[in-house]
This record gives sequence, structure tokens and C-alpha cells, in this order.
Amino acid sequence: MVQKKRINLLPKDVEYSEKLRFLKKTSFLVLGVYLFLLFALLGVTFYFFQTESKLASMNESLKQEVDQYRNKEGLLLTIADRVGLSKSIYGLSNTGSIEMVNDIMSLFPSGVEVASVGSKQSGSGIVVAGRTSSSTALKETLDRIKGKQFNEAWLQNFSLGEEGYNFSLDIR
Amino acid sequence: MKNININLPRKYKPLLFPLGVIVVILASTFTVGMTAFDKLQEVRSKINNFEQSNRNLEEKRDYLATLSQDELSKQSEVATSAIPAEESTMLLLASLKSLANSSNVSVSDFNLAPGDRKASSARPIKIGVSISGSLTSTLSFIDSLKSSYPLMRISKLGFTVSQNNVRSDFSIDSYWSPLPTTISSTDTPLQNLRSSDQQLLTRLGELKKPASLTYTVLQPQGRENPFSY
Repeated sequence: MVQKKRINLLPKDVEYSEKLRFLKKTSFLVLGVYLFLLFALLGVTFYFFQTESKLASMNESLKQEVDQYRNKEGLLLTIADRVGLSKSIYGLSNTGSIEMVNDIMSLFPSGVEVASVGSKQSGSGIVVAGRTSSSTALKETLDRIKGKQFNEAWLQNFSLGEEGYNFSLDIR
Repeated sequence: MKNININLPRKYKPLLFPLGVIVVILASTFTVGMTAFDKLQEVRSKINNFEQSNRNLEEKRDYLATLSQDELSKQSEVATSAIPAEESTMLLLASLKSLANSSNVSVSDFNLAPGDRKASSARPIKIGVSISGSLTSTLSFIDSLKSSYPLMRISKLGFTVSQNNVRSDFSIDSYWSPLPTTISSTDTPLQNLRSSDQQLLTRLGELKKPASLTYTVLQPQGRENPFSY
């Protein structure tokens, strides 16, 4: 098979100017695309500015509406403040609960005279001083203490006098 | 006019225009484009902020609109009765006296000492009270202390029992705190009261006002105009 050879008979300048024309066309196309993108960017910027100004005016009018309820907001703030403070006060332990006093009083059966009940300076524990003439009442007191869920209970200053048994209890 | 001859080979001269276009495009991209892009980012961020702020404001407006002014005033009164805005020793004295009367115990000793006045939380007033009465009356006094205005906490308690009489020495802390003076900016979200706060508020509302703290408004008597003859 005979191969055909192509021979360019045009002068070299013509081929070169064709390439230049193509380059020019491409340049204009790129410029066109660039200008399109530029205008698109400007369009988007304009849209963003419009949106911003719309939101800003909405923000202003909402602020005015909320300002109408400023009084309510102030009251709400006061309530929240006081509730927070009350919470912290209620969170602190209360020494004088009725349950605790009743608990202590229930330790002593009839026949035991309670001379004094006091909380300790350190804040942990109670000291109860009492007297009884009956050893049975004293034993019952000790039994009742055992039945209660105290961490520790110490019998102190135990003595037998003319009026009966004197004692003090250190309960923690 | 003198032509400027650029010393370029003839065949490159036609490339000058496209090259110029490319240079202009690149220069414009890096100046106008980047500036515009930065500006766009800035505006976008402002828009986001406005959207967030508007959402907060709408939520706040809707929530505040549902609240009743009267109800809030009542709750605020309850809350400030529990923890007064001022250090009122007279109020405490009146309150304790009234509680003692209603519990049938007699106050034998009373002293007051202000606590830390610069405390950021509730500021305590330290009260020492000694009362005498039966055990039932003493227990009733303790109970009424815990269920009356203003809030009081028994920090120390001692009893001395003799025959049918109980002498009790109380160390009580009462609290006060100035009202908040600054209110947050309009678009700051509200700190809504949680259900536990509402329960506490209900609990505070159940506290009793000591009898002597309930004032009755006296009707004017005598002449309507005291300067008329």
C-alpha cells in the first residue's frame, strides 16, 4: 500500500497567523468568561448587601419589640437571681431540723431526764447530757442508740450519784 | 508623535495583546477579586450574626409575650420576700418575735451581727436567739422558722431541759442580697427558669409571712381636708 504524504504548500507565515488568530479568539473568550464571573461576583455581593440590610432592619424592629417587654425581663432576672440564692441557702445543711430533734428525743425512754442537748462547736455531732435513777431506763437508752444509724455514739462522764446515773452522750 | 519601538522579533509582536489581556486578568483577579471575596466573607459573617441574633430575639419576644406581668410581679415579690434586697434587722426582729408569739415561746435573749457585706452571693446576718417554752412549742418554733419569710438557716442549736421547760439557744443565719442592677443586652438569650427552679419558686411561695409583717392599710379618718375650717 502506498502511503500518501501530506505536504503543506502554504507559506509558514500563514500557518503562524492562523495560530495567532486562535490565540486571540481564546483570549477574548477568557476575557468574556472573566467579565461574566466578575459581574456574577458583583451580583452576589449586591445580593449579600441587600440581605444584610434587610436582616439589619429586621433586627432593629425585633429589638424594639423585645424592648417593650423590658419590665418583664427585669422581673424575670430578679426571680432567677433570688431562686439561685435560695438554692445555695437550701443547699447548706440545717442543724435544727425537727426530724433531728425528734430523733434525739426519741432516744430517751420515760425515766430519763434530759439535762441539755447541744451541737458541738466543730459542727459535727451532738452532745446530750442526762440523768436517770433507773438502770433499766439507761440500758434501754443505750439499746435505742444502737438501733439508730449513727456513725459513732460515745457514752461519756458516766457516774452514779445520789440522784442516780449521770451521763453524757457524744453522738456523731 | 514618536512611536515607541519595542525591540521584539516581528513574530512575537502579535502576542503582545493576548499577553496584555492575561496580565490584566491576573492583576484584576488578585486585586478586585480578592478584595471582593474578602468583603463577601465579611458580609456573609455579618449575615450569619444577624440571623442568629434575630432567632434569639424572636425566641425571647415569643417567650416574654407568653409571660403574665401580674404573675411575674407576684413571683418577684415572693422571691424578694424570701431573700430581702436590704439588710433589715427590724424586719428580722419583728419576724422572730411574731414567730415566737405564734409558737407560744418567750424570747429571753436576742442579738444580731452583720455577716460579710461584700459577699458576692447571699449576705448573711448572724442572729443569736434564746427562747424558753415547752418542747412542743420549741419544735413548733423550729418548724415555723423553716417555713416563714425571710429564709433562715439554723446553724447551731442547743437545748437545756429543766422540768417542763426547754431553753433553746439558736444561732440563725438570715440572708439578704441587693437586687441585680444590670440587665443584659436586648439580644442576649434569656436564662429560662428550669423545672427545678419553678419547684423552688413554688416552695418559696408556700412560705408563710409572719403575722406582724402583714400590714393592713388604715382608712383615713377625721376631716377630709385638715386645712379647712
